[in-house]
Amino acid sequence: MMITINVQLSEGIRCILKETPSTVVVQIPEPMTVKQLALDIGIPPILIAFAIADGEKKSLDDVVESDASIHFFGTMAGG
Amino acid sequence: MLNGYAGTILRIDLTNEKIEKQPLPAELAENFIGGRGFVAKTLFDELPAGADPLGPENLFIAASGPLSGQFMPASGKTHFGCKSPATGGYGDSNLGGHFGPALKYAGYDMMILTGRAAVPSMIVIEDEKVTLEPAGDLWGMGSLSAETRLKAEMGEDFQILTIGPAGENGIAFACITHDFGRQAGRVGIGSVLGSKNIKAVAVKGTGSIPVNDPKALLEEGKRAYRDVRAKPGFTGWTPEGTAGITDWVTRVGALPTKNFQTSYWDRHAKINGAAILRELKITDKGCYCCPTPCGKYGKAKTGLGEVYVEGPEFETISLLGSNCLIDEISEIAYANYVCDELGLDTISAGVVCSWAIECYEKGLLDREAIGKDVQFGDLASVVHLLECIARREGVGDLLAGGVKSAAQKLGQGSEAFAIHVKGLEWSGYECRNAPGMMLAYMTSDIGAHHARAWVLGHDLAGSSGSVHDLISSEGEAEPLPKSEVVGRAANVIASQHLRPLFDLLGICRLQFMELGFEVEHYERLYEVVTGRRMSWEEMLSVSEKVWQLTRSISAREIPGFGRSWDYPPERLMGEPVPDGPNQGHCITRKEVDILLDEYYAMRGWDANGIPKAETLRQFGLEEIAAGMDNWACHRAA
Repeated sequence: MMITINVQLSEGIRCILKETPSTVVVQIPEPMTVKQLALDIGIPPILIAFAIADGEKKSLDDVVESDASIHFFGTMAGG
Repeated sequence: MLNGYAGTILRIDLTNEKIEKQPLPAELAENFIGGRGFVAKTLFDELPAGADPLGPENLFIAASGPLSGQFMPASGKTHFGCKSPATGGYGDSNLGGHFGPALKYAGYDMMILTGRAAVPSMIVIEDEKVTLEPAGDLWGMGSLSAETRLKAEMGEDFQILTIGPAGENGIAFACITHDFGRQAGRVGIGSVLGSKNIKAVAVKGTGSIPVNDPKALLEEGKRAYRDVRAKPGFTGWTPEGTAGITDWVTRVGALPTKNFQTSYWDRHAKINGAAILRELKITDKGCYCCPTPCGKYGKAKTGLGEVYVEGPEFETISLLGSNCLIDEISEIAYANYVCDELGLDTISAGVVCSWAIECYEKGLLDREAIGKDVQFGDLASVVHLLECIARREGVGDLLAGGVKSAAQKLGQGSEAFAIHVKGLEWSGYECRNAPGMMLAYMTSDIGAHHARAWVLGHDLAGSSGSVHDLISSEGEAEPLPKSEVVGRAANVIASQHLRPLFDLLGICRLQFMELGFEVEHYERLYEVVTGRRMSWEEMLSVSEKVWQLTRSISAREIPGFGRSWDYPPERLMGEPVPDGPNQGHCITRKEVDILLDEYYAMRGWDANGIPKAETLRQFGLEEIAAGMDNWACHRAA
């Protein structure tokens, strides 16, 4: 059973990686870390300030185990 | 009737107690959109050249944009402008909350204050009724206390701006407070209001704003909210707000630490977004029409007392926290509260306090000068300095003009670690290995501020498009390669047009920047509100024109203004980072000049960073080009 991940990228990432679409749907054969998922779709983990999966904040080392919608946040300038 | 605008400018000559209302010129709206655009154009046209920033001739401007107060996500921004007491040049700052929409509903797109009231006063605006009322009993009160009292006396329907003792005493980094924790923090805007003897502005608006197609606005607004709420990051971004990036900024070696001595601090997990949730937060707090409230209202318990406070957001965490080595989130929140009540910008305050403590450590300021022994990591030291500053007591008088002024007075090499550009203290990103971000700070039109351009990610991605993957796990600092200097200007310039565009429109940028809210929404919303079709690229062109204008204002106002005003302090230009991911890296003076050469050329400015006449003419700024031979930049400082 493949795991389907819907990845959305913040504008903070897309303004750097201009050729990357705002949404990427990937299927993975087995659970993997957020970091590996990012690498697989060509997003340098260093550009990800944090990730949100189905409403919960995830670290780069957290494992995605089932179908999910993930938003990769780039960096923001607070204030 | 101008759709999207209230249609009236409110002018108050405080010296003569003269209140005038004039129609908003259509060409101003068409050529400068609103907010920051209105501020810049009005300052250039009406500010007497050479005006004293704290004199009656300076202007205090509050302006909204065409999308302010409209039915759409996060339409609550208000822009403020003046000649900056911090830099002597162009100054603006903005805040969220509800003031701008209320001012528009009262009938005014812009409020321009000139002169000086004879006695401490407040301005009360209740739709068409505008009065200047004595406020001597408020003078001396804290910002939050004054707002609390005015709300109790006048009612919750009034939206209120206040200043604290810092604004009354002409502190170069005094802010304006609104909504118990929203600040227009930068450039000393609070001192300009204080110099006019104005303690508060209260506005209640019950009118409406003409809109070109109300039915279409309703539909587009609903669609916008639906789209924002559908973003995967919608529910996850809000809980921590901007504090959520503290860990990342540390991982990439950009966290200002110990007066910018270094850029990495292993205690960041104690002061991050999770710490706010764990130790402080009571509820989220948002601005007008905002679906993603980033404000965090909470209770901080410290050895100095317990306070309720909005914040701290990331900038405050970095400057009052890591930069002062305060490693308890509750203590940072307490210092945040003290700044809010005194009416001090938390960014500048953090930089000034850390500079003073380093001076003490180096023996340049002693116990007698400061009034007590001070040290990094000590909340009581920071609070002591803040209170001295706001009231100009003891060492506070030295620090009142900001870190540039204080270092010039103290000398003895202290200028090298006074962290500012143009006299405005540096905000929350250390960038000795981030040349693009360094350039963004150097060329920001108000001084060292992050909100004008933010390209740290571009620096990390590399100028040639190559990327690094050097982070093995969160929290671990691994070496980053030295970033290339060449090829940085284009991204900085693009960002300097993009981010301030939201300040022209009168809305918050976070839904766009963080949640991926599409540009097409803004184009459609602008059209249904105003009836004018303008592409995103055309709006960016207006933003670019405003950038030329703001640089011109500083060139006109500051004797000797030019390249030397864009340099970072010595600490950030030659002193290698001692530890963390960027250990050993620095940017040299030669590299700084490479950055500036490229930037000036792309901007159409001369080698000294002054806009060329032909450049100004390209943007339709002929009248500005015509007078540039008389600008102060051509005279010796």
